[in-house]
Amino acid sequence: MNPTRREILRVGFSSAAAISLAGSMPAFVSRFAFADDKVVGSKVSNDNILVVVQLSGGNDGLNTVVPTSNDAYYKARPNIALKDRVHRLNADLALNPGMAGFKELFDAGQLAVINGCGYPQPNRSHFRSMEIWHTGNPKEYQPQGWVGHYLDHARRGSENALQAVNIGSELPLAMVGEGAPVPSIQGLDDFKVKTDPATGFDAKLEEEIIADLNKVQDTSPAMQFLSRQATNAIISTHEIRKLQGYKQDAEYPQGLGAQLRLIAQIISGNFGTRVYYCQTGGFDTHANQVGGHEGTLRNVSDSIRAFHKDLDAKGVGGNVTVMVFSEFGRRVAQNNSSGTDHGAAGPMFVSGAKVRGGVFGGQPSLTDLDDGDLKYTTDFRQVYAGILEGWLNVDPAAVLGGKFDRLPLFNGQAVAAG
Amino acid sequence: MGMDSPEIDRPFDAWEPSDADPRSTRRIGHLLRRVHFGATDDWIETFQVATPAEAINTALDYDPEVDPLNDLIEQLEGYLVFTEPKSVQGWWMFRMLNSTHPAQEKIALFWHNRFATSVGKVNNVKFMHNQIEMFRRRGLGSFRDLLIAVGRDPAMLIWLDGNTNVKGKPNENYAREVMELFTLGIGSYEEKDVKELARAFTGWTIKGEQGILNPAGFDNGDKEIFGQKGSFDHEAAVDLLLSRPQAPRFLARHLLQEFVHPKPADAHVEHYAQRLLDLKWEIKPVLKEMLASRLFFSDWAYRSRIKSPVELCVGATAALGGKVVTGFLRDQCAKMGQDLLYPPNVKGWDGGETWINANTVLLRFNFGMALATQRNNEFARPSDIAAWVKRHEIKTADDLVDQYTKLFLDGQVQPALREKLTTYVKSDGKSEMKQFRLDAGVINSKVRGLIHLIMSTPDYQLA
Repeated sequence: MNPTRREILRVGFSSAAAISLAGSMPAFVSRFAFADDKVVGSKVSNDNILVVVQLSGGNDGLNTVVPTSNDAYYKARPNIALKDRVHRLNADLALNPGMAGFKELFDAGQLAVINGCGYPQPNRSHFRSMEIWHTGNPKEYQPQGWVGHYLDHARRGSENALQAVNIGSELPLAMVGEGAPVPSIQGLDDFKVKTDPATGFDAKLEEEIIADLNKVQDTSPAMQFLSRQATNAIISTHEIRKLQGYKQDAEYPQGLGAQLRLIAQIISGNFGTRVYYCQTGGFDTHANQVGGHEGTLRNVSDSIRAFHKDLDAKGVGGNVTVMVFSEFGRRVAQNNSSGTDHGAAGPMFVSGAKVRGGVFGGQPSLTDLDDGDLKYTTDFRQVYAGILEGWLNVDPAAVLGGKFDRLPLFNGQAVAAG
Repeated sequence: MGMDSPEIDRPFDAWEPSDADPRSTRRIGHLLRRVHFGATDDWIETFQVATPAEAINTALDYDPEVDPLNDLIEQLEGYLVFTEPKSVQGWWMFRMLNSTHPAQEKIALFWHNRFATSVGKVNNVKFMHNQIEMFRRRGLGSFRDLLIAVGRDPAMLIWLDGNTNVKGKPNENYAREVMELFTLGIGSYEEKDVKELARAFTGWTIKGEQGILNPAGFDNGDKEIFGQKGSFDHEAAVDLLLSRPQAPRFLARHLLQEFVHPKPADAHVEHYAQRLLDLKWEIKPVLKEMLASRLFFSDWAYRSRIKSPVELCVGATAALGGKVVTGFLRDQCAKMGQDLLYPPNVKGWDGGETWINANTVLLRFNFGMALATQRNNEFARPSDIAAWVKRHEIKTADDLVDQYTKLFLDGQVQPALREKLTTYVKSDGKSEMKQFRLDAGVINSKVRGLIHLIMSTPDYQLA
């Protein structure tokens, strides 16, 4: 029995072939016909928080979750294949040497490694493929994303301006929905309306006038867009300014670590935020990739490890799940610059105290390829569906616009789809 | 944003002022925001006495070989030693603020975003500086020449791995992006074209500060690109790209999006695509036609774009007199999402609505506050504001609001907004002043506050 088959059987679900699209329902149109929030399939709390971590640039999956028992891997990558110092997951697979943090989570049963994630007819453009992951629609461009659709559903009637928070300077398409715009926060110092410190007597009036000037108006689409954004921002600042200093209970690295630290701080404010989004780059490894890729993965792995540790110490670790993805993996064969070019399927990771740890998804064959690329074994929307159902407590088909055979990623989530 | 299919009479004809539709501050401000970084007193004055065609010529007929900052060279000390990315950022910001022809920098900025290259990977400050210089020099020339130069540019050779693309060991990175992002757009080529085009680009390497061809590295075998066979080299490959029907449309669309409207209609794209072919890919004459058009001066195009952080920061600073440390502006732009020389990826900054979110809106307002309330910096000394007030013969609160909304908003202000600003200027923090007097105290508080408030309007975020 090959390892692919064995892994599939262990977690008891059938592979990509089992995806079924829900009849003729166009994606997302049924948004207004949602059933009310209710527990679907497992017992989950309404306080559950999802943190999405995007690895931008196309993470080389084969040097992330290394198929160490596969000769074809070493043949295809004479200069860049990894052998030493890897962190073993099982007889066949091991994590990149930089990923000691993930190994720790895996051994604690808090990390799901999902192999071979992708979608039909993979696109090798960073931008188009990222759009596909953000919208969950490989067929055509959609102006709104999967998290946005979840929020449109979950926050019906909610006035909470902080239902979701993006960390960074640009809002990802995944977070765009029909409701109030999701705020992006880079740092707390700047997240306020500042007034002239030398004329304190005017501060209140100035704040009032600024709020007034930005009252939502629809004189033009541009004005409507800007005034909505500004009004929502001003409301959000009233919440965020309640946050005081933050005492971290773990050592966060720079880079992704700093973003996750900020997320932990906002979580501590209890604003009812359900989804956080952050991203980190450096994965477009076309040349001399080994050292740099290890360092980038170390940052990801150590940062996420620190994040869970910090939250655990505060007793809220059980409320938070992290999902890690990248827009595509890379070619099986290395290129001649000791790097790898754009490819297709790659691994995803889901971590947290309530996560059902282990290896999911079949490891794609390294010899039966699609134009030099891995064939996906798990549709990424199966992972979204598992999270939507098992963690965010909504009907995945309603959010994703189709039924996907969701992965049972959480403890207590029925292994067979319900 | 904006209506999808505007009804504009004779959209491609040159707009001519008439009694019914005269030249106005509104039109001058519009042109200055698109072709420069925004209105200043001096440029408003210059354009007020020019026909539209003269104004456009004044903006674009600069000699790219002449350094407009010759007279300021002593002030450039410290900006001409390129030791770290910050020095090139500062050098460029200084030019944007002080140039006698800001269009040159605006055009270079456009190309910096089209051929988005990041010093983060290039890791060579001089190469980045040279690339910006190339955009400044070639920005309004032939697109064909520019595209050839870009493919051999050392910063680009590093950025998209062209320098590792050699015979027998192709690296597809540049070949893919040159089609997807620089010339044709996604869906206009097959995977096979990527592989074959990469072979045509083989052999280019860096010697000193130059991109040169190493003949031994070039794959001179036959390639098949877009169904055509030949031994295509770099230049032949560029000509193949430009012979595709998507190529002129792709460039026309980007020019329209940058200079006219974020969502041009297909008919607009087709028209200027044809003009690019007619005019043999020469950018300047096509851009001049575009800027002179009734389409450009239409209500549809007016305030239809969202200012980029650099447009916002440079524009506001220049309007107020321009003398501020460039490091401050650079940092502000970076926070707002546009760190010069560090585009987020090879696609460049997406721009438009993606500039705006809760964080960046607040940063924009807070930038207005920081800029307007710098009391110890050169431009914002009370004496400078006092001189400005005197020059414009400002006496009443209404005069004050008029002059500043003219400078910042072309005088195009909704009555409700105007009233709020006037009320603010007249109040003393609690109630209305008994009698408005423009004394030093008011200049130092209310005038600065007024600038801050104008910059905190949604209107001001639009170009």
